[in-house]
Amino acid sequence: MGRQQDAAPVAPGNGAAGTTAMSACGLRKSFDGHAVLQDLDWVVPEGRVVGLLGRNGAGKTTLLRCVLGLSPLDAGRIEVLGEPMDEPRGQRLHRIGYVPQSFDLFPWMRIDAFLEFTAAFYRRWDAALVERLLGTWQLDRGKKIAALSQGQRQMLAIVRALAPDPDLLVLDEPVASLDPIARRDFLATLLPLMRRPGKTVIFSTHITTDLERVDADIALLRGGRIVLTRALAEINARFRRAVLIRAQGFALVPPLAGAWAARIHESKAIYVIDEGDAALRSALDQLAAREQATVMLAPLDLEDLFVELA
Amino acid sequence: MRAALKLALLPLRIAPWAAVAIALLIGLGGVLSTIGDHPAPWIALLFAAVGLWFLWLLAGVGLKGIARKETLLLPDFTRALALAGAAWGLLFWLAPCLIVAALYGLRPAWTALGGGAAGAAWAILSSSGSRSSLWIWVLIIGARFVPPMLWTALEPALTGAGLPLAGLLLAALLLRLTWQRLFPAGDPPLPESPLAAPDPMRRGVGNDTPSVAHSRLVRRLHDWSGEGAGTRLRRRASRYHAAPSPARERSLLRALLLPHEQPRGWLVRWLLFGIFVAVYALALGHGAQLGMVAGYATFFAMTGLNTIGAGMPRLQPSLVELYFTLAPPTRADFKTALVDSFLGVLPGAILGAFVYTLLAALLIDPTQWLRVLTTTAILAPPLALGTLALYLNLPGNVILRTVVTIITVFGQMGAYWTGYVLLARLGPLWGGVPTLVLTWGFAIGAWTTARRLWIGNPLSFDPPRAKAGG
Repeated sequence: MGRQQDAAPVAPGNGAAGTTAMSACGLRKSFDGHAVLQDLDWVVPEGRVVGLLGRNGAGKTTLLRCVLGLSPLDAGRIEVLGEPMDEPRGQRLHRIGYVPQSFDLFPWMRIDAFLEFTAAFYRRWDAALVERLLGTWQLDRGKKIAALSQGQRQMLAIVRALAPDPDLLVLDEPVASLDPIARRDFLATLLPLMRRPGKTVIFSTHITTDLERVDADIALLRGGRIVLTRALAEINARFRRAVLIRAQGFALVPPLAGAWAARIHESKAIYVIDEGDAALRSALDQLAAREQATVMLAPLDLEDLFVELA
Repeated sequence: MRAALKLALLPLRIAPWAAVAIALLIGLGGVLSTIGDHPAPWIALLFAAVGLWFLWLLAGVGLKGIARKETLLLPDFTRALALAGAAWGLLFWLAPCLIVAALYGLRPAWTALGGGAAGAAWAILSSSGSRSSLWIWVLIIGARFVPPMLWTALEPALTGAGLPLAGLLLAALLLRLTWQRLFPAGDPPLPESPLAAPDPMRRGVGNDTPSVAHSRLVRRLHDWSGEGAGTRLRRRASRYHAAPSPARERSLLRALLLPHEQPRGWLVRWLLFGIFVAVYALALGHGAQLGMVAGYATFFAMTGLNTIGAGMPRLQPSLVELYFTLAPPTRADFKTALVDSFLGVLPGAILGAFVYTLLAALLIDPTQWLRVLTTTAILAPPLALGTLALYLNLPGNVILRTVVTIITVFGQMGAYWTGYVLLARLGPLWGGVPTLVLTWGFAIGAWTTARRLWIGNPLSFDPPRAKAGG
């Protein structure tokens, strides 16, 4: 049981009011008959850092690749930076930075040759930032990309994605292979850059503490749909774990309309609720009275919420 | 035991069609040997020997497929491999030798034991991707230059009962070499561009395996070529950045995708390939048909072109980055830029044809060098373009790909040989001009069609066989 979808949009941040960096409508995508995205709708307002959460295999990478036009859609419509994400693309691609999940590019090249090649195509290229990050992350310019560790490759991908000062930065699990120091460093670098007006970040990750650190908005992908889009502060303020307890315990979880998740744990009925939803709160109280149970509310951090909902 | 069985069946499972063809070959030998009034058992033996040799080649291919250091971590892997090897040895080495013993006596069986062991080990070494297996050709060619007096001195040893023992020792040595090659002690070599084919052993039908270990000299040569490639890339990047233009973009793209298509890369390739061409020409000697040898040399110059078709799937993951970097207006523009950059392989292939055919001419019949170069000048450019066109859309199916490759290879050699003969018989005007018109007509037609087909095919950014993402 639980809700299927929450369409509540996130309030626009630094961008112009109502401007969207990316919008997806009715996306469908299947692989070998297995539906990965099912009528997915998603709006990312300009000027926000959005964390895309979902379990392994939920389709996060597929969704991001579809958004960027790298994987053909079965159905649906995508707009990126104000234009449909179909041809012609041209220079708009230069306003997008992308860090893929696995960085396989040009393994035969050396770092300096790769960066010089890439820089040649961009009008905006922050060479000072490149120098700083290469130095901070101790990336040897003369090394071949194939000789880098997975973490170092990810660092290089991040350097390359940040250097052109993109308006939309799409990061597919960018810090999965980074050590904690490099991860914090990356976030500390990313934030000032992307908090400027008009900059948007879509950030797929499993590390919920990183999303808390950057105060990201959250989008949860489950069952091929975005089922939750909220600002982190709102999640912290409103989402609660409600535990129904009674002497004889619960064998089955009593239904609660509007609950985000429900399960039995040690004979207790446990729900995830949006405390700001007055109707849901009232339904919970009525259920407790009917079942002669007491209600205990506990705060949920993002990881708890992810475990409950994903 | 189950693991050993799996390993023993692995070579047959990875190429069942080859196993069937080998079985047919052996069976055909049996049938042929019974035809006529005087059955000829040696025909069956010959076919059986060739069939068995192919089987051991398959065993090498199977071994190469599982040759990862991580494989050695599997519990009891070496024991299972030894058991599988023993089963293969029993079935495809000892059993045939026993049959020989039953039919012809112990002495021939002893010879078959030594010769079979060396042959099987050589086959495994050859198909495991080692260049060392090519030394046998040096031995065969070298045998031509051994003075008769030395042959006389060696005769007792060569005809004595001890020679098969030498075969057995050689087999042990070759198997040890194979093991070292498959599971090298050091780190694996870093990958090259999927579109680069810098050395002879990496070229061939469907060769999409990772790099094999190089000798120190070859590594140094590649490093030297790599430095040249890096310099060229930086120079072209700064030129493009200073004043972008479509021509400069194509030139920069070529420097990225085809790093070895520059003078240093050519020199390294000519050196490595030149050895093969020289060995081949020397093996045939002065009596050889120069047109055919030069045709073969041209084939060597063109073999690298198939890496464009075969390497593209492995380049696909890198295309994402390239796509964002080039920011093409349409996907078709992106594909057009890529396909036009592939033309960058042509100068190296054409110049290579000049080098190899000249080398062949100088080694076989130096008086004909001018005719050979004229033939090359007429034929190499259209042949290179036509070959690139045929390889551009190589089918995914390995059998179809092999068929296309064989047709292309024989087409190249046949066209060169025909052109050479026409030039020799009819002269440059009546022989050369029609050849020029015909080959260019074919090449331009094939390239235009192949290019259009390639651009029209859907663009994939996924690695080969990759499906859904997480």
